Amino acid sequence: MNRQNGDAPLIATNDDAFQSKVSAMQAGYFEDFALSRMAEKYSGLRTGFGGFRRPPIINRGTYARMLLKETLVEAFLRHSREAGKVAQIISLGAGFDTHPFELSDNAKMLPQFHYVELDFPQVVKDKITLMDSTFSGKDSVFTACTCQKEQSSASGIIHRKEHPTAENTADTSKDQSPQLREEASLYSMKGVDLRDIEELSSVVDGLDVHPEAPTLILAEIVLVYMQPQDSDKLISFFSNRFTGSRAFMTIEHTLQESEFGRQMVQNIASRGSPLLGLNCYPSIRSQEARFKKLGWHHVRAQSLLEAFEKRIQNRLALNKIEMLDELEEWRLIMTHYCVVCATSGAGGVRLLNALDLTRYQDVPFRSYKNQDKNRE
Amino acid sequence: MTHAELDAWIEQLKRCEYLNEIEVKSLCEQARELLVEESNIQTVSAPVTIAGDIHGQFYDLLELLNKGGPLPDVQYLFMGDFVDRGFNSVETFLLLLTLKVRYPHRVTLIRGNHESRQITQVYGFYDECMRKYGNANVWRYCTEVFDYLALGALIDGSAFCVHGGLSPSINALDQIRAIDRKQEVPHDGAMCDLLWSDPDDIKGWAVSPRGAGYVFGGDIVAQFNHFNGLQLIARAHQLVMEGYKNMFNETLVTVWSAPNYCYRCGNVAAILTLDDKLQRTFNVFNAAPQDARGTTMKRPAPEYFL
Amino acid sequence: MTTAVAQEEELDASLYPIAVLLDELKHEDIQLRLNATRRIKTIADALGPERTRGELLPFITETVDDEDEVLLTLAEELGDFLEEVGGPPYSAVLVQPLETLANAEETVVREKAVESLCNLSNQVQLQSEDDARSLHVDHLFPLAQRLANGDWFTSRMSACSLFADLYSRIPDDHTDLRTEILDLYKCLVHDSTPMVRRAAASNIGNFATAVYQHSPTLVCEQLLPLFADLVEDDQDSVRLIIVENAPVFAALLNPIDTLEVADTSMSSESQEPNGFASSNTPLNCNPDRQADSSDARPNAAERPSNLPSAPTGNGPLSHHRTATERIIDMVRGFSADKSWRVRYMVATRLNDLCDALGPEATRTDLLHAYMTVLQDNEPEVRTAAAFKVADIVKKLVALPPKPGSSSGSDHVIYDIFPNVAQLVTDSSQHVRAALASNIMGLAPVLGVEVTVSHLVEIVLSLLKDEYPEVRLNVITHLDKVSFIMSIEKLSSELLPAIVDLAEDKNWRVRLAIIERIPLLARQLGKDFFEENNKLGDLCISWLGDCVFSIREAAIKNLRALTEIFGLEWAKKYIVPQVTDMYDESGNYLLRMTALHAIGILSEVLGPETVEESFLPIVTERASRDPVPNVRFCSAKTLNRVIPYVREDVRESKIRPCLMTLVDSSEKDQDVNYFAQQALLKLSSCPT
Repeated sequence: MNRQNGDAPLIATNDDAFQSKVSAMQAGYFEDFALSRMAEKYSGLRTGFGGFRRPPIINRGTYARMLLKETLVEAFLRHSREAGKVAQIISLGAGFDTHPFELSDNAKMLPQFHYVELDFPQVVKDKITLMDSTFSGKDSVFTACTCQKEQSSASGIIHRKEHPTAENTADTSKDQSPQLREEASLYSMKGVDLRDIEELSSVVDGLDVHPEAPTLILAEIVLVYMQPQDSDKLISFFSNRFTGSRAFMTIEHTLQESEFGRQMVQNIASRGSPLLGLNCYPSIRSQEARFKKLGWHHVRAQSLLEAFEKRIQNRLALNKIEMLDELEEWRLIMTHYCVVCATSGAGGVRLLNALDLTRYQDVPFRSYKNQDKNRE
Repeated sequence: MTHAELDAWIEQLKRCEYLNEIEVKSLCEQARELLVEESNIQTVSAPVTIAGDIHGQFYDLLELLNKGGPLPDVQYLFMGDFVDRGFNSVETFLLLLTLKVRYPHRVTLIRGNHESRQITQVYGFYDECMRKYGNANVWRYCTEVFDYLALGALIDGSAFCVHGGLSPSINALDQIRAIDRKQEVPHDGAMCDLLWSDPDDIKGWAVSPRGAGYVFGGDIVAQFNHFNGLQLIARAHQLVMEGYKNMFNETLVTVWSAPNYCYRCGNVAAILTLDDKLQRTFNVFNAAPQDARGTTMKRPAPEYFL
Repeated sequence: MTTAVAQEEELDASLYPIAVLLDELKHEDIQLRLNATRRIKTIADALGPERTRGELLPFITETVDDEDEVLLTLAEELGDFLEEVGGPPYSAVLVQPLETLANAEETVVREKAVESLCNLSNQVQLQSEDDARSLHVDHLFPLAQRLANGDWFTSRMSACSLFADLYSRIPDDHTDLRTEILDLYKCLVHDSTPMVRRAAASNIGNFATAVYQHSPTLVCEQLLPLFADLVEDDQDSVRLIIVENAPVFAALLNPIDTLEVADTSMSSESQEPNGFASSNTPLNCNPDRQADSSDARPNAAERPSNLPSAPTGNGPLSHHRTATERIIDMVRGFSADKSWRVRYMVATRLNDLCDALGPEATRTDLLHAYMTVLQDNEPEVRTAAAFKVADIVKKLVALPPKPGSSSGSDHVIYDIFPNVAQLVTDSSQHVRAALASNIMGLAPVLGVEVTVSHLVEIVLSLLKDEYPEVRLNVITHLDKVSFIMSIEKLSSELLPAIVDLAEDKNWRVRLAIIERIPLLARQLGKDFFEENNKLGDLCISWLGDCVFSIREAAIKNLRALTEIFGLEWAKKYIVPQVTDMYDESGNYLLRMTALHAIGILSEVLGPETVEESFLPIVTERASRDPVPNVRFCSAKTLNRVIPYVREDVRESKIRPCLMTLVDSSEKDQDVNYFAQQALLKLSSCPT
């Protein structure tokens, strides 16, 4: 019937994710200029908003989820540098993600990229509203995004953020205006219903993306809310649509046939956003098989806990940010999410290798106030 | 305060209606007077029914009492973590405290790591007090009571009950008796360890991944039990999906009494009864069904990553 | 302090609380504002009507509070404020403040404001005809116009709930205003905002009732087409509300049709061949409307009935689609609506529709609609339908016989039973549980013969359901049918089912079955509870259950059984078992349970048994138990037993025992306390 109304709980999942990210940021897990500015304006966007604060377990898990996604995205970009083409990222159900604006840090030695975000038209519209408040004005030493906007689509350029050298950080950085660089990256947003594969196809056709360029598809807790036949179509659509070196990365819930999983299915269904994909793909193994079946040749799937423990060696240090009162609960929730990386095309095995988290154990995440804190 | 007045409070609290600020103040004063007389290790005689973490899951506490039997007929020992995480920390703690004041010899309350000013500000009890009373007074009265709670209990000289576990700085029970407990839970030291440590299948001592307390192995438990003439250490503190878990040849047991912890974990809960001959019986129970919970309050959905 | 100042202060004191309350009406603290708002009557009484009108009302309304709770209170207070503003002649001053509130964003505030407007209208009407005329014609009618034409959908929603009341209050010499209200309502039925259409739909019943009082035919001419439009609404939430209101609306049409039938049968020659009535019948009064509604419902006249017994093509009504028939068509359409929520509503309201639409419709179309929802794809709809089995069957059985048609009972056997039998194996446990809780209601309606031939099989299958709640529901309702236990086939299956539930791992299931045992016992008789019978054994074994609540229920059950089967039975099958249970070498919980049982059973066993079999256990053993809990339980038990033993025994046995428990050698405070309580009882107990 009325899809718009029926989708309200799905749209609300973005709000929940956004609020959780703000909460984790405020708890001190990371810094994020765009996110903090968007958070200021957010309460005006949503009535009945009850504040950002989340319990520590959700903060740490949100941090884990962001850390892993961003590590994999950056690993993909770095790996694609050698291809000599503009790398493409298509983020499905991107919501109010701010990672694209963080990527412009020149210290990260990333190649030029084109970052595409797709989501419900309503979400894209709201994100444009929030971004307007973030990127207007002169405080763009950080990053700048000049957007061409319509109702539910936008495109623009993300300028490279100049990394202040050690000598000039103290005094002059305030007066520096961002220097435009040749290799500024592209950013697009587009409203689309991902369940409608024909609409999606024509939207992708309308984007400035190249089938043979290295491409990463991101679906961060998105597919699981769709009927499995719809998400399956989506997964194979992207494996066919792109021909170059390509990867699909998804994070989502996994049932694991446990009491915790059953309770999770019930609780999330009662929010109006049932985990439609879990019956069909209840385990991590079944996810692996699914991607193989749908045209992705090399697949690695693991629990969020396993992935997180590979990525972060010194987990005790996290207790300095926020202490967890119950580790069994942490293990439970983190083993009921999985991270799937799937690659295809020439060099697919090498690409999957590049996405091995153990390689990034010592790479700091964003900035790194907390790392400083830990050293104290 | 007469028995009849206390009984009226108990009835009120059992309907999940909290007391007003003045009543809480008076209750907490009486409780403090009682608790100040108690030793760091409270002496308890069997038979007794031992419960682990409750965490503000009020209706599940009623379920526990349905299962275990009513006070004072049944003697109870609650091993801490009454508050935080659940939706009804206020009602839960006030009910337990009123029961304690009404039946001081049939109820033993010992301190958990959540009975702390710092932790309750992060994990919900403080916010709940603010929400329900509009100010922090009730939270303040309750946290003052926390400082007076015993650190452990000894049942018939042979079963030692403590919230978390052992401490490398403690060999003898008498060392616990010598602690000045009337303070906020410290970040380290013996008192902190008793409330924060966990057993594990290791040898000796190890750093705890929780960031407070230690992890201790079966050899440590064997030593401690032998030295103090104990048969059993009963403790709570860790979520166990099956409600209880025996370790080290049944010389240590974890009891967990918050079913479907945080309305999310899907676990069952348990209580442990030591009868007059110290025979152990575990009584496993599920979360109270929906219709046994108050319908008036619309509670927020448990959180996940969405 | 000088005297003069003191006097001045005293003077002020009379005004002081009012000043404070006035201040608090605008106070920053919402709680103070709320309290003050609750007391505006006090303020008004102090100020007098003139100042209330001139100062208080403007003060209250000049700034609209932004707290819904305050607004709600205000809306409520103003509904009973007539006296405060000076009575009926001044009623109009309340219209404006309530209008503001009727525009509020929050639904409950608006609803309360409209309710208060209706209250006001009612109060004035009761007190003064003239003032009422002026209030309704000069103030409330323009208000309704403004609300109905408001830009913001909230005011239009308020208008919808005001119409019915206003319509019935408009004096007879202002029929033009009535027509205008009808037109306003018409507009809102076609409003672009679904919320407004929902409000219009939910008021169609009471609005139609108001219209009916003045002109029954207008309901057919004007409202039926609107009803039809709402039925076709593309929002399922609107259709849902229409189904909910259909019984009330339909009930109005039935008597109108009866009039019309007489009317049209006289003028049947002039009827047009398309099946719709000619110009003198209500539906043709408005040619535009006619075109609309026939477009909207192309199948109304064409669709053949699926039921062989439908009255299509015979009888005098066949050329003329009465309003009732159109409603029936709509109901049948609803039962196949694409939204399950609408179909669910059909299932829950069908019973009322049967009443509203009468036996003919019940026999044919409504029966068909019911069978459709029984076979619905959505378990929720089937559950709702299953809950109605007994009600619908009652309606069918009560149908008057009609030559050429099946009897109501035949419909039950040939139409209902096959569908119900399908539900027994339904994939949803909720459907089966609903059926199980309802199916027993059929037995008394159908009588022994049909019950044995058709119902028992269904009941037996449900008794073997894998889901405990289904079985429990069957057993719970068995006792309501006196003859059912005597059906041998059933009673032999019943026992295993009870035993199975009695051992269920969910203690609430066990509790539920124990609580039903006394009812079953009356039906089953003693035999089931005597030696070597599983049921009797179970009743005793529940005393040892690991769950306290079960042990407690088990004791109550034994007490009830004693009352049912008598003393001799209890002496043989209960008393020895309880005394055996008290064993010092066993678990202390068993001793506690035995004491508890002694306390309760003493109430029904009579003094001899209590004194002889029970009392020694308490006074000689329990009161000396090493476990203090057992000792104070002995005191609690004695407390209970006191009224049921003879006086000499109280003094010779109970008092000495209690004295030992309050003695200084007894250190446990709880033992002392409960022994004291018992001693008090002993002194106060009448001899």
